[in-house]
Amino acid sequence: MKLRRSPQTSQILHSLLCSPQEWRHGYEMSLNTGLKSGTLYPILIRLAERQLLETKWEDPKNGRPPRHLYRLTQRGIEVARSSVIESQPLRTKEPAFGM
Amino acid sequence: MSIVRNSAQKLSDFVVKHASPGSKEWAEAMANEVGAIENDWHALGWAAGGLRVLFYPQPKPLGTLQDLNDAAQSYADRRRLQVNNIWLARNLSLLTTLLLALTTLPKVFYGSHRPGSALLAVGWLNLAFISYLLSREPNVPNRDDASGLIRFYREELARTTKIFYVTFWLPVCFILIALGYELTMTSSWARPLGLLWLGFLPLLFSKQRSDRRRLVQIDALLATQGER
Repeated sequence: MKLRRSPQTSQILHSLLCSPQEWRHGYEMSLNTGLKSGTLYPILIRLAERQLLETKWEDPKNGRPPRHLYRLTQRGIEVARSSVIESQPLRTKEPAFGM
Repeated sequence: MSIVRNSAQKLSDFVVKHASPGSKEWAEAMANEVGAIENDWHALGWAAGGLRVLFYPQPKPLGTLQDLNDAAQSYADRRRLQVNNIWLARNLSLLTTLLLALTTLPKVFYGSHRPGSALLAVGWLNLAFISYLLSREPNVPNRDDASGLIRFYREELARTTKIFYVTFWLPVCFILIALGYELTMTSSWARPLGLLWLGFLPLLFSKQRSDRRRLVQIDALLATQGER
């Protein structure tokens, strides 16, 4: 079943693609994309269900509860790259009418 | 801790406590972020966003092939149990809907509220047909046939989620019946009774959504296994 490519989903994929090997926190992604938690997390859930996103819990620090971390899987990186290519405007090789 | 921060924490804990098994990990993930947010009001907004999790009840997710095997096995056991039920229990819904369709049909030609009766008849007949399909003995694979069980489980889930399956159109039957009752009821006190049929729609749509998400999980898991 195809992933619904909403503008918000593309934003999240692009954000994760900036540093695909790095693990990111949810709040950090919310600040980068400007999306609120109620919008961000359903998209992260959908990405994880489709095995495009891998998740893990970080080790607890200073007595605080562990935070959830996210990064793209290999398939997720491919999907994110194709999403970037699709969203780029078409460029012609030569300018129209010689201008 | 300020009142606002305290409220944010309590709200997050509430969401975690009442989240469904499939959403619990995500509810915990959102709750654990609250402590990392410096601004108290932002933390409260973040916690409020987590309430959305409560409106998407999900069973425990399928993370591995073993989870899928277990879920397929459990589903097959339930369907085998249905096969062993007595004929009348299995076909009660079919007989009821067929009887209602047959009693409504003459009203289409001879009654006073023909459009309403026609809608009722079409709704009942479609519901009878779907009941017949659902009452047929399923061909449940053997317990030892793991891949067969998974295929069976996937096929059964597709029946409520794919548009070319008749069972996908079950909500339409309920809408037709509700409309039919609304058009045929003459007394004002009886009119709301027709609308009660629409009360089933949220349950049907919730099941469809849940089955669709389960299907997505299965397809993604199988695709990952296929790549390995």
